Amino acid sequence: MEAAVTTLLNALTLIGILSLVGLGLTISFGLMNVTNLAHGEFLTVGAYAVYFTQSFGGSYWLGLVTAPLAAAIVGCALEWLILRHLYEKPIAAILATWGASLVIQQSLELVFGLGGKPVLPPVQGALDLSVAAYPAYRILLICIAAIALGLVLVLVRRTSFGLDIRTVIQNRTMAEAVGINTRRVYAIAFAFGAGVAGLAGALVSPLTTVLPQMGVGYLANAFFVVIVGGAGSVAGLIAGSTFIGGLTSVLNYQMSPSLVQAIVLLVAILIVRVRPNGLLSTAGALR
Amino acid sequence: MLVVSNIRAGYDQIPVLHGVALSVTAGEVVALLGRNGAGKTTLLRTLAGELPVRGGLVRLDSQDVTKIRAYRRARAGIAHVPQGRGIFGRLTVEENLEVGTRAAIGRRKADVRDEVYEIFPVLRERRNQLAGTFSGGQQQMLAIARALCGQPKVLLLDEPSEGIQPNIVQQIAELVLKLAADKGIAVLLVEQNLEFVLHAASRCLVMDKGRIVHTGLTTEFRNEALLKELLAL
Repeated sequence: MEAAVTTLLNALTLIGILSLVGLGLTISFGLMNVTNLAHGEFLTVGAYAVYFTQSFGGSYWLGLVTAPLAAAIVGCALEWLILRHLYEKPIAAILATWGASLVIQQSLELVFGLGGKPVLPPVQGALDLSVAAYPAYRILLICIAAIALGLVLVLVRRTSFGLDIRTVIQNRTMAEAVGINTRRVYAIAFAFGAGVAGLAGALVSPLTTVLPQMGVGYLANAFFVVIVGGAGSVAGLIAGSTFIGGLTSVLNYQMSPSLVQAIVLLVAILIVRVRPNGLLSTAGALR
Repeated sequence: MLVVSNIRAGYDQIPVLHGVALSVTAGEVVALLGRNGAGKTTLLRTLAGELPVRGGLVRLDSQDVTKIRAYRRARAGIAHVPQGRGIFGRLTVEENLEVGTRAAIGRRKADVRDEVYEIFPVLRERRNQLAGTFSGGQQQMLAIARALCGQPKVLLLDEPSEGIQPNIVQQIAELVLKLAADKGIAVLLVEQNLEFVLHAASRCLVMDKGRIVHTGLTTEFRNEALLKELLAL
């Protein structure tokens, strides 16, 4: 019972993080057809933002607000400087974003120096859940991730900007013809995805050491999530995260992490073989 | 209202329009005729801002819109209903119309969606249905309704009768005529269906090889010999 609850909470932690990181990818990869290999760096930037804030004596909470802003600014710059020129050249975009990823990593190393940086969690200790004790910060993380995803869903489905995004994604030319500034919508949607990845970075920062390369590992998993779940759908994103995060957490309890990665990848390949458009695909409409 | 002088445009390196001039006044319906490949659709897409203008001028009232991007032309009052209608199939009817109101941003404050629903009661009944599930005729109605939500001054219609049952074609022709008259919209129409043209348009322009080669009142086009000569039907 205790093991089951712990595994479930571990899974929820991972699912929450993967969903937040995957959101930006589902927007850029699923909807704009851009393979952004610098997406992991948005998470890294978010984590560094928390470290930076704390190094000036700021609280974790201030860092949590700063992180998505910092990542969104980096995302905005990447879109404006590089990606907007390459929407028609997807292969060039892969190379360009890979280069950008290296530049961001090296810049972080130049500014903050070598080695891992510590981030202090806002709450310490464990919470007694009667059947099991679980770190309080991780429970907080699960709640924040769930709230953030809920807000994303409301934004996409219920707001006028969400409608603009869904419209541009379905038919960019026609969206422009009805009076939507599609360049602006692309830029904002991209920066938004980057910001949410930055939030994920802030959330994981107390659980790990903050390193310039920390985003790389999340990038691969986030791509699995988007491809398995079905690119371009928020429901697919959550389904994909649940699958990848759930499987990883359950297997992690039984065997070594590298074997787990291999098995998860294998199962992901099998799923995509059976359902090429992912578990829940909505074919080009963010829902 | 819409004045086009000597415009040239095309796709990448291939010029299609070689100096087209025309004007459409408020409340007037003008039809563009011509064989396939004459440049009719290219002309509408250029006027809508989808293709860049390589020379000449496009003016809307007194505003020069030659160089501005498509979304700003839409906001200036040029609505485009393209071939294939371009509705957003994965949005509901209501959402399609809401997106249509974006073209009125900065120019008109009132939301005319209720008024548009009065004109198209069928759309109100199905406001929560996904637009992609509609038949061709309903989609065409929706595309026109969406254009009206932007309160346009000029409406560019590309083959509104394409793929639509004959009894609905008649309805749409009457609707276009009525909208132009009631709302003072200048309508420029590309159409292969002569019944539609004879019913709705007051003037016709004939295009060939990227130029306008003949202009006349619609009544003149009831003469079959002339039609054959101009359109090589």
